[in-house]
Amino acid sequence: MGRLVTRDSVAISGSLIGLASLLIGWLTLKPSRIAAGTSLNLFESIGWVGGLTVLGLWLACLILSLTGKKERSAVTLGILANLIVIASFLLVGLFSGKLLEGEAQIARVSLGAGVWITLAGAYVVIFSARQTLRGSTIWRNVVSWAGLAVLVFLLIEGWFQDISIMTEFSGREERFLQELMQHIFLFGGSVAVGTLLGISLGIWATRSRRAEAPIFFTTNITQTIPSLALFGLLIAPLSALSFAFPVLREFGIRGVGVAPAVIALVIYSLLPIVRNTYVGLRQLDPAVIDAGRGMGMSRAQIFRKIEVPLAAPLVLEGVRTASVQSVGLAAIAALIGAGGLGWFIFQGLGQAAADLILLGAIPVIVLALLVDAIMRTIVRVATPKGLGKGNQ
Amino acid sequence: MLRRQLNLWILLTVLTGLFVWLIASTGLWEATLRFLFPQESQVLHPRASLLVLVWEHVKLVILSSSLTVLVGVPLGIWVTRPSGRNFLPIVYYLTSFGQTFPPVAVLALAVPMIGFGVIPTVIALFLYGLLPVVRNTIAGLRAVSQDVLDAAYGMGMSRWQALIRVEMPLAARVILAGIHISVIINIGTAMIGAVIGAGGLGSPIIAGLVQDNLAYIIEGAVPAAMLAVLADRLLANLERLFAYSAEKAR
Repeated sequence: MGRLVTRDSVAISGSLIGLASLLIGWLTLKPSRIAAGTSLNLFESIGWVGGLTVLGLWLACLILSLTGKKERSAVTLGILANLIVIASFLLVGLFSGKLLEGEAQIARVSLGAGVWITLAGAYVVIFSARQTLRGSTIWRNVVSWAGLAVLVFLLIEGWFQDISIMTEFSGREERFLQELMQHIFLFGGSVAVGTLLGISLGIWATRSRRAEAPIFFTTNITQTIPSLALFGLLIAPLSALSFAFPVLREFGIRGVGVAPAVIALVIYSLLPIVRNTYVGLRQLDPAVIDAGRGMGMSRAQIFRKIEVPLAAPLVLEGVRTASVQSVGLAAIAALIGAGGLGWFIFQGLGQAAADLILLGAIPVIVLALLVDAIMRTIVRVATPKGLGKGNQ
Repeated sequence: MLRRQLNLWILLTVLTGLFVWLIASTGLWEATLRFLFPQESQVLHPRASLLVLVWEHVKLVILSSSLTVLVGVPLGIWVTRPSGRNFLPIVYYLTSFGQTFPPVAVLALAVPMIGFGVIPTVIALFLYGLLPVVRNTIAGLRAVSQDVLDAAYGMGMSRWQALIRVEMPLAARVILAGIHISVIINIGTAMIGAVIGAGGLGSPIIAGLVQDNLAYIIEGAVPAAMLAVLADRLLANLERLFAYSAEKAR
C-alpha cells in the first residue's frame, strides 16, 4: 500500500469547489423569457447576510476537512454540507421573489452556475463523509438524504415558484403531466415488450446452437445504429404500409408518431436483455442442475425451480440497463412526433427558450435516476440469499 | 489467426472504401431516392452534399473522442496511482452515476449554458464520452495482477516504466473497449447535434421531418447507420489486436 492517508483530499476539493462557486453568478435576472440576462454575484443575489452565511458554512467545511478524518468530524462535515444545500436553496427561493419586485411582469430570475456548482461541491463533501461513515447506517442515510429531502419538500411547497423553470411549468401543468405519462407509456411499454421478446430470444439462443449466432449478430448491429437513424429508417416503410392499407391508420400506425418510436425502443431494449438471459442461463453450475435431476425433478421443474430463480437477477439487470437507456431514447422520439418529455426539450431548442429546455431535460434525468434506483432495488430483492451480491 | 486478422483488416478497408465511394456518388443517391419517392419534388438535402455531411459528422466525433481519450485515460491512470487513490471511489461512482443520465439530456443542458452550435455539441459529447473511458481505464488497470507488478518491480522497473511497459499494455484491451463504447455513443448523440446547429448527418433527417420529406430522412439515416456499423467493426478489430490472454486464439 502507498503512504498513509492523513488528509481527506476529497472533502478538501469539495470545499474548494464550493468556495469557488461563490465567485461566479448565483442568479440571473432576465428582462423576458428569451432575452439574455444580467448575471448577479453572490451578494447581489442573496443579500449580505445570506451571502456571508453561505461563505461561513463553506469556510467551516474547509477548515474541518483540513483538520482531520475522524468518524465524528465526518458526521459534522456531512451535516454542514447538507446545511449548505438547504440554506442555498432556501435563500435562492426567497430572493428570487424579491428580485422580481418592481420588475416587469415578463421578467424572470433563473439559477446561475454558482448555485449548481455549490450543489456539486456539497455533494462531493457528502460523498466523502459517507465513505468515512461506513460503520453507522443511520448517520450515513441522514447525511446522504437530508438535504435532498428538504429540497423535494420545498419544491412541492412552491418555494421556488419565482424561479424561471417553475414559471415555465406553471400554466403548463396539464401538458407536463400528459407528456410525462406519454413518456412513461413509451419507455415502459417498449421495455415490457422488449423483455418478453428478449427473454424468449435469450432462452432460444441457449437451446439452439444454430439460432445463437444470428440472434447476437442482429441485436449487436441494431444496437450500434444511431437512434435518430433507426427512427428515420422505420418511418419510410411504415408510411408506405399505412398508404397501402389505410385501415392501419385507425390503429395509429403512420409514418411518424408512436409506432416507429415503440418499434425502435423495443429493438434497442433487446440486446441487454437477450445477452443477460443468455449469460444467466449459461453460467449456471451444471452440478446444481444435476442435483435437481437427482432429486427427481422433471425438465420443467428444473427450469422453473432452479434455472429461473438463479438466472433472474442477471436478467433483471439487463432489464434495468434497457429501461434506463429507453428513458433517454424516448426523449429523442419527440422529434418524430411521439410526444413525451422530449417535446419540451425540442420545443425549447426551437424557441431558444432555455427554461423550456430545462423543463424537459431535468425531469428526463430525474426519471432515469428513479428508474435506475427502482430497478436496482428489484434486482436486489430478486437475488436469492445464497447467491451473494449476484452482480456488480 | 494472424491470417484471419489480416483478412478482416482487408475486408474492413474495402468496406470503408466502398462506403466513401457510395456517399460520394451523388448521382446514384439521387436516382435511387427519385425512384423510391417519386412524389417528392426534391430528394437531396440542399444545404450540403452527403460527403460534406458525413465529414461534418466524423469531425464532431473525432474531435470529441480525442478530447475524451486525452483527458479520460490520464484521469483513470491518476486515480489508480497512490497520489490520486483518495479520489478513486468518487470518480468511479461518478462514472456509473453519470451513465444513468440520458445523452440527449446532457446535450440539451449544454445549450442554456453554452449556446448553440458545434462547441456545445463537442463539449457535451466529450463529457458524456468520458464516462466509459474513465471507467474502463480504471477497470483495466485494476485487473493487472499484483504478482505481475511485483515481477516488474523486481526486475528493477520504476513505477513509470511499469506503467508504460506492463500495466498499460495489459489494460489496453479493456481501455479500448471503453473508447469503443464512447465513440459509438458519440456517433449516435452527434445526430441530435443537428438540432442545436452542429450539422452532420442528423441535419437531413431533421429537415426531412420538418418539411415532411421522406427522401431527406433516408438520405441521412442510411449513411448514419452504415457509418456507425463500420466504426463499430473497425474498433472491435482494433481491440482484438491487444488480446494478450488465452483468448488470443479466437
